[in-house]
Amino acid sequence: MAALILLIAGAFHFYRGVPSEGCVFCAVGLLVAADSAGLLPRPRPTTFLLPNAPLALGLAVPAAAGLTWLPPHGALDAVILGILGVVALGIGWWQPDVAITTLTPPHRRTAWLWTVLALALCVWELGVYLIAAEQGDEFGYPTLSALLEPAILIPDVRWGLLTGWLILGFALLRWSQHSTSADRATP
Amino acid sequence: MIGRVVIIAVFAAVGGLMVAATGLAHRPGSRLVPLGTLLATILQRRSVRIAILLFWWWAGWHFLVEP
Repeated sequence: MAALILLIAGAFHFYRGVPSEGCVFCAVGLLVAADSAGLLPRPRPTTFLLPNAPLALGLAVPAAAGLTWLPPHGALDAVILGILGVVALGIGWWQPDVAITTLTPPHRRTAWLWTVLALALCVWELGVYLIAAEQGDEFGYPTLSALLEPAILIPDVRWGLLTGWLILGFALLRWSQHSTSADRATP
Repeated sequence: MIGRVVIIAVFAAVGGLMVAATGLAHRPGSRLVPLGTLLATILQRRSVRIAILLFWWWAGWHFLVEP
């Protein structure tokens, strides 16, 4: 299912005219599919030492400040975020793969709720995107990206959002080693 | 213009529901678990982990790098 979602997202990136992102999503989707089918060698499970919440905050705030003062949509941004993506996905790949045997009813309810909310957001965003493209009117039919773009151009807002984005990245990696790490502090 | 207002209202409503879901999950005796608890469970699976990490990375890339 995860591979299929990545491949669908990749196809959409091709459709919206960003083939580089389409290639990334499709390549990762194919890797995940191959791994799930047992076609790839099992990576040696490694539990990485990751920063706890205060340290993540201490790293994210100055890092986000540095990124904020780079010109948006610049080459240096691309290099730094590219490296961040490779590192995060690498850590995610080599962390242990643990089968999810049982989900409690509260877990299931929560999973359904968030799936419905995320799907609603994606379907609405997609619908708006298609109408805006057909009408050629991005102001009248603004996607989430179009709505957020002006705010992101404000340095203080960009700093805050980048800090949150980096902390979320740390949190995702730490959550993913929740049951394997000796340090179980909530991120 | 009406279209714009409706579109923004729906985005805000979905965002509001996400905030409400988070709040509900943190109430004592809730029938939901906090999102972090759910993520800590499903991120154990490599395929789910890689997919979520890629969407996280793309969000930063999309807003910061993509022209």
